[in-house]
Parts: sequence; structure tokens; C-alpha cells
Amino acid sequence: MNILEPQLWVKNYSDSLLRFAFLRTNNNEHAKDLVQETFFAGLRNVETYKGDISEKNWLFFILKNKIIDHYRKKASSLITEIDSLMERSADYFDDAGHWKESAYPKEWGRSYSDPVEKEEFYDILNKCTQKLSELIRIVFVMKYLDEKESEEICKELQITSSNYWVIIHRAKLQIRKCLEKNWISI
Amino acid sequence: MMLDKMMISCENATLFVSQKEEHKLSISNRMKLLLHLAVCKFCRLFEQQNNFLTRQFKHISTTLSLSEIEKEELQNKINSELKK
Repeated sequence: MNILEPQLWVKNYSDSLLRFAFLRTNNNEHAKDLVQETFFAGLRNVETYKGDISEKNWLFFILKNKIIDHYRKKASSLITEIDSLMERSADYFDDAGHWKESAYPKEWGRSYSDPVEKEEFYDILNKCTQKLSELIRIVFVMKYLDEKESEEICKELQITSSNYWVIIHRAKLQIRKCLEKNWISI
Repeated sequence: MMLDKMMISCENATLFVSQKEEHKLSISNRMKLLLHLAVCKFCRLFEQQNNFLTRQFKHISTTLSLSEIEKEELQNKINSELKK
């Protein structure tokens, strides 16, 4: 049987909760607030804890719900972002939908099947994902970090499946372009 | 005429690459993608790099942490809440 030890929560869980929240909000202050709210919600709900899951999983469960709420609050501003996303592929493709010369994918001078050994690659990858606009980043993180199915993402964010595909497509285009620019022959 | 219907743009081909990754690409679109990749070296390269990147995404992480002072303050708040 698991028990709760709130006097140790900060020491044991604050950093892992903070990292989880930061990757999903991309905002230091929001992430810190979410961690604090998680602990206080935990305190308010100690009676509901039955000990059937670990203390850690229980706190993460609270945080995940807080993050979904956080996304919902942003829903209306995110929907405006969808409208502008539908138009802007002109960065990569011409009117006929062919690659623009300036956006032609280039060889990266490495094998695409070998694992990456350099830490520097992951630093750049992290920075490139942080540069994604809010909606794109949220969808990207839900798909690749939370490993959610597209149907679930659409439901949680209340977007259509065609919105979803535009967003994923744009995320890929932006990240590969950003990497290509910053990750030279590693 | 038939071939015309089979031809897709690079914009669609790169979108189809993502749909294929999630097994959400219909058979007819899969054929169109194959045909496009056979003739377009840029989209072939895009697909290779896309598959490579997809395997790397799970390594996205952060080393962010609270300062010792922030931790102490936060634990103090929790402790005073506990005493109530």
C-alpha cells in the first residue's frame, strides 16, 4: 500500500514535474505555477488517495489534468492560429505545390539510419521544437512525447482531423528546416 | 488522363509521408505517394530525413529545475498548509 508524504514532495518530485510541465507549456513561469497548483490540489484531495497507485503517478495524474485545462483555456486563441496556418505554406511550396528552390531539402551528410551520438544534435532539436508556435508545439508534444493517437489529440484540443494533419505537416517542415540550418555536418 | 490523376504535388507528398507514418494513408494515396517518390528526389530525401527525425523526437528533454531557494519556499508553503 502506498502512502502520501507531502513533507517530501518538493524534494522528490518538483524537478520531474517541472520538466514535464515545461516541455508541454514552453514557459518557465507557467510550468512553475502548474507544479505548485499540482501540490496544492494534491493536498486538497488527500482523502481521495486510495494508495492503489504510487504517490508519483498520482501527482503526475493531477498535473496532466492541469495541463489539459491549461490547453483548454488557450483554445480560442489557438483556433485563430489554425486559420493562419492554413495559409502560410508559401514558405516551402510554390502555387503548384512544388518545393520552392530556397526550401529544397538538402543532404545532411550523414546516414539516416545510424543513431545520433552527439549531444549537440539534441540541444539543437530541443531549441527547434521550442521555436514552434504554441498550437504546433502542443500537438507535436502530445503526439511524440505523450504518444497519443491523433483521434485523442483532436478530441482533447477540439480540432478537426484536417487541422491535425496541417499542424503535424507544418511541425515537420519547420523542425527539419531549423535543424538543417543549425546542425551543420555533425 | 489516368496518370494525371495519379500525380500529386510535393506539398501533398510530404503530408502523405506523415499520414503513412501513422498508418492513416489510404491505398490509393499510398500508390500516389510511391509514384511521386519514384520521380522526386527532394521528397525522397524529405521522407528519409522525416523517418530519421521521428526516431529522435522521443529524446526531446529539458534539464530545467527549481533553485534551492524556490524549493524551500514551496515546501514551506506545503508545510504550513499541512498544519492547518
